[in-house]
Amino acid sequence: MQNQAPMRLSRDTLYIAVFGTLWGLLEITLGTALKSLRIPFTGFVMVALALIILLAGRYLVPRRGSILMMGGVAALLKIFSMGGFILGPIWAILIEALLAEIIISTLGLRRVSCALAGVVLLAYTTVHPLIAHRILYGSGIIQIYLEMFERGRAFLGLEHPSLMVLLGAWLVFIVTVGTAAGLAGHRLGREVEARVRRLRAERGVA
Amino acid sequence: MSRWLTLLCVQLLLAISVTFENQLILVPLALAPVAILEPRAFRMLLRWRLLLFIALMVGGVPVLLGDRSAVFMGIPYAPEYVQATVVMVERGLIILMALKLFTTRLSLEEITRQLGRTRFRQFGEAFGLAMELLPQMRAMATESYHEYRSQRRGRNPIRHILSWTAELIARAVVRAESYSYKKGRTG
Repeated sequence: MQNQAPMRLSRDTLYIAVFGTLWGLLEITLGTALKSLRIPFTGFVMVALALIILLAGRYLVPRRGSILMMGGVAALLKIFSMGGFILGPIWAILIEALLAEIIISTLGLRRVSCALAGVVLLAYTTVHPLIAHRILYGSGIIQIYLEMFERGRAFLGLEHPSLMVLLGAWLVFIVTVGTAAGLAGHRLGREVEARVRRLRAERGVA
Repeated sequence: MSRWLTLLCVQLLLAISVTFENQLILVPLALAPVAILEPRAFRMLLRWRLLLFIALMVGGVPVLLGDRSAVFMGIPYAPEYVQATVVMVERGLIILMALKLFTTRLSLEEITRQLGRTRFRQFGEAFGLAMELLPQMRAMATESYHEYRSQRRGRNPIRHILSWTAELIARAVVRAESYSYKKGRTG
């Protein structure tokens, strides 16, 4: 459906607003609650849920840039809900939207691309604090972290093979959760579309 | 908005230019606009997590890492790490304060208006609508959550949560459509 006048919104714009608001609401409510409760792996939970919403959104707005716009809406809502800018979460939302947008725009909205988007987003969440700190504090912080990591490894007596096992387990976790979230998002899009049709029919809306 | 964006860019430029040698000039210069226009932003410095991070960076890192060639009150430390961590903390604080100042100067109406003038007009419209929808969606999510809790017994939890999410999103879409129709905004 196209715009008929400058002030009239297309259905795509409406869907972008709805999914952006849902993502923003998720960040404002659940994200803030989980953070304040100091629950570990909050970032992974939030990314998995956000991915499900944005993939469902993309299913209903099948055009380039829609995920990025949903992310932009969610990030701005988060800024205004917090009364100011907090670099970490805002930056994370925008990068997640950008990564998902690139993958889905390149490969199309398929099960494989949705699963890949899930894996990539969760992998990014792992390194997000390092990237955010690199931007905030400069390159010296990475050197400090590496030296701390090396000292910690030596102190605990962890050898490189044990670290590889830990890394492998982490990769398995990311691939499993990311794939599950991606596939759930793909499925949810279809289900939402069917339910929207049903609700419209119940309300007598075309 | 453009002048605040310019100020933000200048502050970010100053932040990445800070070195241990020029810090006494650049840091006050970069923070002066915040002190004048938004002094409340400095309350951020009272957060214990930030204070702990600063203390660990400036006090802990030089004592634990690097070549501890100098001694202060009997404690050996690495002087190059003192310099590096002080600059890092200053850079981080300038960036945080600059972003805080910038976002407190933004207004929703102005963002929507500015975006409407650019190629991002659709984004501006979507954001304007999102701001109107947010309270309704919040209420609807709470309402749906109560329904979800009352119906969940004896069902597969994952399938049930997906089904509930789909229902919530579908209701949100339909409600947004009807809200938009009422305001005469959907084409």
